[in-house]
Amino acid sequence: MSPVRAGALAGLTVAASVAAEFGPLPVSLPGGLLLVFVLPGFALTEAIFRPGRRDIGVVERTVLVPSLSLAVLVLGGLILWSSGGHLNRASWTLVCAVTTLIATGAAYYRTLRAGPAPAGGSKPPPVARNTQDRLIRDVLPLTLAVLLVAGAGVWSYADSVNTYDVPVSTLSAQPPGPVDADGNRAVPVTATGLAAGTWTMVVSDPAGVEVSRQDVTPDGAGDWSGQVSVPGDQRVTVGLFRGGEAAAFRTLIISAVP
Amino acid sequence: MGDQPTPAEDGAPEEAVTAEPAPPQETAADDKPPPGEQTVVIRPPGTENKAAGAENKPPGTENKAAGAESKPPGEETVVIKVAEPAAKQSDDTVILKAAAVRKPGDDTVIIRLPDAPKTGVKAKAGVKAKAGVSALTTVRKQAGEETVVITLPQPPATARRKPEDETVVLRLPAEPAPRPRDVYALGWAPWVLAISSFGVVLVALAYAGGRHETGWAMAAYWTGQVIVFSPVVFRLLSRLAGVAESFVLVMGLAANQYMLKWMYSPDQFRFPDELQHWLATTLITESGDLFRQNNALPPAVHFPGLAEMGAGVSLLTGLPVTAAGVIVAGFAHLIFVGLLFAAVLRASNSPAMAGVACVTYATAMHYLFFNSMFLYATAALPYFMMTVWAHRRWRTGGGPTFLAMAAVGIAMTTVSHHVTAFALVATLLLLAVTELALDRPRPWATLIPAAVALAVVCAWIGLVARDVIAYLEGPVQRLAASLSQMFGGAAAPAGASEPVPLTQLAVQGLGLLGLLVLFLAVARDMILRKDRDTWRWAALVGGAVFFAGNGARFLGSGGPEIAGRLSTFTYVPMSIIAAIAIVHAVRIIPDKDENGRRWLSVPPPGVAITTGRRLTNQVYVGTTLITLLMVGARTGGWPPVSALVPGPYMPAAYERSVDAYGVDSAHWQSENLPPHTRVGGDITAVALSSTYGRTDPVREVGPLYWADWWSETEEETARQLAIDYLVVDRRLSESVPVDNAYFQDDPMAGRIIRPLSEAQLGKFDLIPEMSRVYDNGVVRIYRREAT
Repeated sequence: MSPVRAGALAGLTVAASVAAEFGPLPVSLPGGLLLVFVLPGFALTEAIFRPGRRDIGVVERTVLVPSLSLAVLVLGGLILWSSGGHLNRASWTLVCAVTTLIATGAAYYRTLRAGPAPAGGSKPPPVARNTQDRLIRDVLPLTLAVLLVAGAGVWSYADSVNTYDVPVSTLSAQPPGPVDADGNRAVPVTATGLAAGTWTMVVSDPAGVEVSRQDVTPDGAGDWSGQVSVPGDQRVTVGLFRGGEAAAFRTLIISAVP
Repeated sequence: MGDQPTPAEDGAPEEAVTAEPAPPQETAADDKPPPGEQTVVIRPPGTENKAAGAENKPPGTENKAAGAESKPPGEETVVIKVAEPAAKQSDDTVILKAAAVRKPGDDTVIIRLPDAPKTGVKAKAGVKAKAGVSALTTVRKQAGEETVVITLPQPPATARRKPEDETVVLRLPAEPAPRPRDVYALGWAPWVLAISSFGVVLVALAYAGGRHETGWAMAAYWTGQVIVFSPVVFRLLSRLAGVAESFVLVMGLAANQYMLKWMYSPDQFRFPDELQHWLATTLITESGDLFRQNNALPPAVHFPGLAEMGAGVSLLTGLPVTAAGVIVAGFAHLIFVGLLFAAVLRASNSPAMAGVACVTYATAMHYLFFNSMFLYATAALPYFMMTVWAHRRWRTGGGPTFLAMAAVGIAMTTVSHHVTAFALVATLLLLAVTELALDRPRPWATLIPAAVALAVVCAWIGLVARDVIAYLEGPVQRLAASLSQMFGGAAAPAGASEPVPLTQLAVQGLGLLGLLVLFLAVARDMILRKDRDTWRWAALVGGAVFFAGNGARFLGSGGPEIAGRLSTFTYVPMSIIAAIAIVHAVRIIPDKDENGRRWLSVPPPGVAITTGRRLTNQVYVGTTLITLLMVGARTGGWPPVSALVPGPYMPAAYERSVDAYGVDSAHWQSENLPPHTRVGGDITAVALSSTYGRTDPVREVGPLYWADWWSETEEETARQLAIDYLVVDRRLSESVPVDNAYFQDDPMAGRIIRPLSEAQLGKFDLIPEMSRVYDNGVVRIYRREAT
């Protein structure tokens, strides 16, 4: 690895580490992705395979970069944790960055030791590339492909969210408190996702006789929390009614004290 | 495979200069003649040794020998120079000019054809010449097509000789002149991928149509699947793509197919196993610790590879765990495909074979979903393949660096997934055993990777992941029971096995039959050739295991799943065998030999690389077969046919069962119940409760739901299972489950003819010892007060 490449790789590693550690999402996202998938593997590949010799091809190098990067993340994390470390953003950033920097140094050192690469070799002669041809043959269709796939993905995501993200209205109760002197228990009740309007909560005994009633006024988010007093020796039903509807919108059943 | 020496310094196969439109596998070969060699050796009887000696001279020497002036006295060889301008014509004619006046009685001609194999085409005077046999991937044409008949001193019927200049004119099969080409040229890959991307759009439309219950969704789905897949297959089968183009095609296809998986449920994980690994990842991001208890999938705790990857991406990028998981699974999937391509490319030196092997593997039953999901197997598969690739590089002179790479692959596989680790040990053993069986002297060193893998896996399971043995015991016992039923005549539990639909079986059967034909053709070819290539034999054995594993498909209702999971590994060698058969055009119905034997006739030396109409037919037939395999995989893999496109809620249908109501109930549990709370429910409820809900799942609750009334028996069952809460989805009473089981270990599995009744689900409201503590109109949660 030439000094310029080594310096650039080291600089990029430091920048990515700072971005991942301290940056907001738009910065930490590319920085983190570089640290996880690219930089350690790239540096290790440069360090492992002999400088100036084509031990591995472009295809192999392409797939080894993310493979080795992820291996650094996983095995480095295991070693770090086994030695008493804590796996968080800082420690994992350090693992990836330090590995990258060490491997970069090793690659640079190997290049120094190996001396200049032999001239010539069996490299195929360069083939002239017509930029305009490339534009039509490669760039244009690949751009089209990326746009189609990205567009389909974004649209699919939006459609899925719109389809499944339906409002859910709930009524729930916490375990009742102890029986008080009057033989009643306080039950914390919560309602969520309620639409604006008039709501009533009715407590009934097993025979359907109304025991108590109270109005429920949800907050701006449609939530309400409160306590309902129920008899300790009776199994009661807590119904939440919307407006003047006769059937309960949501229902809870609280057992008697066992 | 194995017939190409891996160059130590001459770089990767993709770095060879390719010629257009010659098949790239030929031009990428290492043992082809240097560019510019255009000589064929034709010897009289009894002169082979001399000619061979001349042929083995260095290229410079050969060129020198090509001059008439340098021919030593007494040599029985005539050297005829190829006229360069004529050789570059694109017609069928090659004009060969004699460089010297032949001696009387000398009937040897040395001709070098463009890109002929190193061993040359040898012909005795008056007899047919046949192709060299040394390198399967470098021989250009079938022996029959390569025949050059030359009768010297009388010119053959197909040759014109000008007495005055000793020129021989031979009619040869069309052989367009090679011209240098940019080895990194993408060829038609960008346009093919653009077409493939239209298929992605169609499938996205199909998914949207499914969500909104439109009638055309399935038609769009299948059209899209074919458009995504088949153009890439067609281009790769044409054998015109070089390394760069093939690689881009394969990776582009893998990316597009991953998009198909992601778009099914783009906003969140819905498959239970993905949710389990979401939890494992979240636990690391929250605690910074490994090996924390995961009630949803206890064995995954001790295989933290995937969770570490997800947690690392999430922490370093700031993305939520779900988004990080999608990225990790996508990368792992692409890396796996890339390494498969690299391994086959190294073994065959043929981008066509590597590409065809990859697209064939893309028809594995679980390729599109299970092997692309955020599951621990997905993280292990790339390292499985990396180990195999590194093993190959090491065994072909790559040096200890690649042994070290194999060790990294073994370590990563072991800490990522148990079954993949076992499969890796078996694969390395298979590679070692075939090498030991075929090579002399026996290369005992080949056992090193297998021994290392065995030691690492045993150490990990013995010291860290002891619980995995108990975890795997259940599936093994079920498999043994199914085998016992099949072969031992034991009575099957009533209704335990759901028959696979006939159409599905027919599609899969046709695809399998096609694969079997290719497998048998390659096996016959290798046996009769007395092939000794270790990797091909290993692939053949692996292919045989694939067919044996497919027998599991018929082992009850769980059969297809077992077969699919097995095929994740066994389909790799099968894909390679299929690629060998297709790319090398191995004869399925061989010609009769001179003794009238057809099936025992020894295949002609070399490998048939077809051209013209025969190649066109092969491309169409091959594309159809691989597309059929893909269709079979989609119908027999995951998701099931009834849920190929997303849509409204279906009971116990995995992804189709996860919606806002279930998720909200799980979030309520997470906020209100302590982690050790034991919660029972149907398959979906348990999956959500144990992941988003962070509770301890109780899966064996089927009898409690199927009971018409809560009697002492049910109470005792609940007590034994230590159930604290039960989740009841009222929609269970609306339809029967697609998998014919509402619950894990459902006592009614395979026998459900009507849905759970409202009375069965409503009985919980009438049990005095139960409180309904949560209600969202669809999902209700009951607390057992007795506990």
